[in-house]
Formats: sequence, C-alpha cells, structure tokens
Amino acid sequence: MTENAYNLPRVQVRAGETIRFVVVNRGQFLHEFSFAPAEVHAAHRPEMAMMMDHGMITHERVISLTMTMPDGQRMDHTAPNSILVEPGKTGEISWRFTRAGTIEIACNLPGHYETGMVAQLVVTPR
Amino acid sequence: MTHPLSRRDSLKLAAAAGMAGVVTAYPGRRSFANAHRVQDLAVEATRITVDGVQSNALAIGGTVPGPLLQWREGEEVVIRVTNRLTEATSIHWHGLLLAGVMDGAPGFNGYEAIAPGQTYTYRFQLRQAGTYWYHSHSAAQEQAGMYGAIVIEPAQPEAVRVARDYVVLLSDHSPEAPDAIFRNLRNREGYYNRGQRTFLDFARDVRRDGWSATVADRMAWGEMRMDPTDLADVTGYAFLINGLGPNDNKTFLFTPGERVRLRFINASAMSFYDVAIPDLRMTVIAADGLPVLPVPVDEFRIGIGETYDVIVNPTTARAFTIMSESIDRSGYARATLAPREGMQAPIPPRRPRAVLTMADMGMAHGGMPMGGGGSDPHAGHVMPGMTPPAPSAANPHAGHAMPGTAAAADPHAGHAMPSAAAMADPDRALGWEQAGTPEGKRALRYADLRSARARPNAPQPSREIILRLTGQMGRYSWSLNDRRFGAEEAIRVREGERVRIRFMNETMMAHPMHLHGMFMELENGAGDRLPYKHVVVVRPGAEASVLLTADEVGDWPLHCHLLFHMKAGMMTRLIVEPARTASAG
Repeated sequence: MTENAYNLPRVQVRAGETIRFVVVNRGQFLHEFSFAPAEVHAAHRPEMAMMMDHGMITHERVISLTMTMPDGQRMDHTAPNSILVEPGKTGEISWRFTRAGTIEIACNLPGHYETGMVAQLVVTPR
Repeated sequence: MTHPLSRRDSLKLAAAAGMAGVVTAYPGRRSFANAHRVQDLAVEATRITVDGVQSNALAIGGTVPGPLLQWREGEEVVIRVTNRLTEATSIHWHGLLLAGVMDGAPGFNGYEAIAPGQTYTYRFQLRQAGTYWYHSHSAAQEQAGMYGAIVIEPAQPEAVRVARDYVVLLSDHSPEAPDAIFRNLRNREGYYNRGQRTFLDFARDVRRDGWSATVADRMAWGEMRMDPTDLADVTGYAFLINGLGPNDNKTFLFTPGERVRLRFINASAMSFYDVAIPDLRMTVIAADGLPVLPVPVDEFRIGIGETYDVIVNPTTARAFTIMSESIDRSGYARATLAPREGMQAPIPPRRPRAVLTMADMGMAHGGMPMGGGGSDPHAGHVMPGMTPPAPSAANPHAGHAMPGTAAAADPHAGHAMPSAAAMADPDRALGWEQAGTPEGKRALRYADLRSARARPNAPQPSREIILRLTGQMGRYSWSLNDRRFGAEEAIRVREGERVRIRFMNETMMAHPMHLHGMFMELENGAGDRLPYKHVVVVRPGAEASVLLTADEVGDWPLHCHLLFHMKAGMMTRLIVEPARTASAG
C-alpha cells in the first residue's frame, strides 16, 4: 500500500480457498486493507471519518480501536475483514471465501478510496 | 455518441473551453534558445458573447479566458506578451515562484508595465506543479477578461491517477466598463447593493427582536457606514465558467466509473462562490496549487484568487450540475458534468443570502454561538446520534472574533453550528460563514486543509507582524493599517527570516489577502501540516494568521484580491532584503 493505491489492481481467488493476505504499508500515512461489497465500504466510510474526527485514528497512526461516546454509543474498528496498517508496518488477514462474486478491497480513510485506493477482489466458483 | 478521451485529449478539450475569437497563441514553437516552451500572447480589445449577449472585453491570446497554459515542472518557459491596447498592460503569474522582475506587477521588483505596441518577454523556470492562473495586474483590466488558467504537471508521478482532468475557471463579467464600476462605487454607497434592507425588514426585525434591540442594531450599522447585506460590492455580474454563462452551459464529459479531476480557479474580480455538485461528493486534493491530504466534502467556498483541485467519481450515466452561487446570491455560474453533450441536471434551489451580524464586526459578546472554533476538530459538524461536543455557547468568547482565538482563523467555518435565530428561521442565514449548507452536508473548512508535505522541524517565527485590514464601505476607502497604497509603510523582512503575519480584519467584508512570490503557511491548527496558501480569506471582523519563511528576495505585493479594493489602495509592499554576507572580522 502507498498513497493512495494498492500495488495490485485486481486479486483473484477461488471459492473455498483460505487466503492469507500479507499487507505492507510502504506509504507515509495510515491505510486500511478491507474487503467487502462496494456498498458495505460506502457505508463504512462515514464511520472512518467519524473515527478520525474523534481522534481514534490520525492520518498517520491508530490511537484506539474502540471508543465509547458520551451517550453510551460504542464505536470500534475490530471487524475481522479489515485491518489498519501504520506506515512501515505489516498486517495480516486470513480468510476463507465461500461465495463466488466480485467485491472490493478498499481503504476507507477519508479521501483515500475516492483518490484511487481500491482494488477488485474476484472470487471464482470452486 | 461518446468515445473515451485520453487525459491529454481532455486537457486539450478544457483548453478549448470558451474559445470563440481568433487564437493568437502559438504554443510549441521552439525557436527560443534553450527554452522548453515559447508562447506568444497578444493582449487586445474584443467582443465576447455570454448567454447570447455581446459585450466589450479584453482578451489575452484572443479569448476570454486566455488559453490554458499547460506546462511541466522543471521546464523553462518563455512567454512574449504583446500589448495591442491603447493603455499599458501587464500579466502576473498568480501563485508561481519566480524572480521578482518576472512576476508582472508594475511598480514592484523593477517590473514596468508593458506600453502600447510593446512586447515584454517573460522567462522563468517552473519550480512547482499544480493549478495556478494568470491575469492582468494593471488598472481594472482583469475585470474585463484578462485572465487564464495554468496547469503545471509534476515532474514526479502523482499519487492520484485520473481519467479526465478539467479546468473549471470561475469569473464575473460585467457589461459595464471596469472604470465606470469603480466610479459608481466611489460616488454612491451601496450603488450595487440591490439587497439593501427595507423598512419592511425593519418592521419584521422589530416584531421579532423588539424595538430597542432593532434600533440599537440599526444605529450601530449606520455608524459603521455599512449595510448588513454587504457581501459583495458590485452586482449585475454574469458569472462564467470557462467564459460561458449559465445558459451556455459548459459541459465536461465523463464515462461512468471514471475518476475526474476538476481544477477550480476563482478568477473573478469581486466574487466569492459556494460551489457544490448536488448528488456528487468531491474530494479536495489540492489548495492553491499544492497537494493537501484528501478531504471529502459536499461543497466549498472559494475566495478570489484561490484554487482547489477536487476529485469526483460519477458512477451513473446521468448529468450533474456544477453549481457556483455567488455569496451575495445575485446569481450563479453553472456547468454540467455529463456522459455526453446536451444533457443537463436540475439547477438546485437558490440559497438564501446571509445577513451579516454584529459578530461579523467582532462586536457580539457571547450569546451568538457561531463559528464554533476552527481548530476544534469536533466543531463544524454535528454527529448524528451523539451529543454535540463542547457547545460553543459554553465559550464566553464564541462569536466574538477576538484576535488569537482559533475560531478567527477559520473563514470557512461554513458548517458552523447555526445560531438559535438561524435555526428558528432557515430562510435567514446569519453570519458571513453561513453558506446555507443543506442539513447533513459537509462544507470544506480551512481547518480541514493539511499539507501533503509535513514540516516537522519548522522553526518558530522570530517575530509577529500585524496587518490590520481597514476601510469604510460608505466612502469606498480600503487600506492596510489605515494607509492606502502609495502612502504605505512597507513591511521589511530579512531573507530567510521566519515571521508570523496576523491579518486583523476590522471591516465588514471578507478580504482574500494575496501575497506574491511566496507561499504563506496558514495557521489553521494543522500542526506540522499547515497548508501552503497564496491567498488567505480573512472573514469579517476576524483574524487569520500565517507563517512565512521569507526565502524569495524582492519587493512583493501583498494585497486584497478584491480588484476594486486593491485599486482603492488595499495593498502594501513586503520587502525581503538579501541576507548580508557575515562581516566576519
């Protein structure tokens, strides 16, 4: 990952395979590696913006992955299909894809997806 | 029928925008020794047609706007400007880092205006990339059409890849001669203020606020010789995008799914705009030419001389309206993003005109919770389902734009917490920064801008320079530190010196303060990522501060970019004296 892109525009896997993604952040800023249908990403982006507004994350670092708001509402970034990787660091996700289809790998930090940080993840039938 | 265009083609397309007359530029001629590009530009009087109406104009290179100058970082360019007018002219390269004599401001850095019939050869190396522009720096020629866009491609590949790249150049055109406008402004206060408040407004205010509050308010306004609807000095403008009127409807093409860069330039003489593309989010990636960390927004306010690059990702095959309403709401510039020519989207409902409050004079004490704090990352947008943090009413100085408050540094607090009165009456937007942003939408604030290039070890400024923005609308007298240009006291700094400049706006209007030759670092709370700006909008009655490393020797204009304010005298000279070689002895 760099600003603001993944080195692969497209990743293809087979349904039933378990994949271990090793994600290296070669950029200067915090990036996300997250896979989900495009509309799920779209819904996640305002949450990421809120996390940044509330200081849970900065442009460069993760401060805290969970936070409880004054009204008791909880925010977290602990979903298993998503990791945040700080500059210079490496993260890993293992996942078994069961259903064929095309989804997106995306970074939903404010403005990153919009400026090109997205790749296609194609799951072919087994 | 549509067919995809390459990036180069689309840039050409943008360059062709608004070309009607004879083009007298010859790009690409390479006869000039060593220069990468040579361009001949003639300045001449012409006629232009806006929405079917003809009027007089002054053109650079045969068109209004002038031709798009597309350069590459590191190149040396040569531009030969020939004056075919009957009066002196000049061209200033707005935002470019260059030797003073090439900056093109007559009376500064030894540069002299180009006399009629003469040719001046500009020659400079491009030390930066991004979106800039050029315009006349003589008389009020800029108002008559002498402006154009500059796009400098970076030497290194950019972080953002786009399929299409367009310049969206905003300007205001008047059928009146610029000198006549200036005479009217001088002779009669409020000549162009068609939104002046009437006795009926007065009666309504009395009903709402009570007699004494209303009378006290009126008397205070009278003393200041300003009207609370003074958002713009001049009205009667046609607002243009790339030289085309709202009905001409300039169209920018895209194929659904493409990433498109729009380079907004406010080349107007006198107009601020609120820019939005309904149903399409914009991601701001550059301000005043230089990259910032991407900020997704729904709209932004753009001051005269500012530029913003945004990315849009239209995914559906429909038209989108690029709507730029002047902040006095006297009209709008409009263009369309569409998959093919001839399409259009609805024009969004016109927004109410903001009514300035005493807070815009820095005179309201408490009570008016507005502009709740530019550097507070929580101010400015209310999170759904959450308690809005730190209500600004808790701050005894909220709305009271005292020097030194962070709120004052944010003229774009466009999404500030609405005051109680504004909540009660949505048709009456109170305060300069109230853009009438629809609920749930987000407007860009200065506090959002973070330079993509960090300066972790920037030295502290050695001293502060205070520049008071002064003037009176009624007499159309505008000045800096109460001195008009000509009687100015120059600001002197040494080469390499780092200083803080505090712009303290003592007037009722927002002033876009422009420094030639160097970038200012706007103190907006962005830590070691202060955004680099060549224009800083200082909102009414407020303060903004910038840091400046004076590394360009010369005497540089520092002025309000409202053309007629500059003409009235709102300009000074910032002299950067060469560092003396140490007299070691």
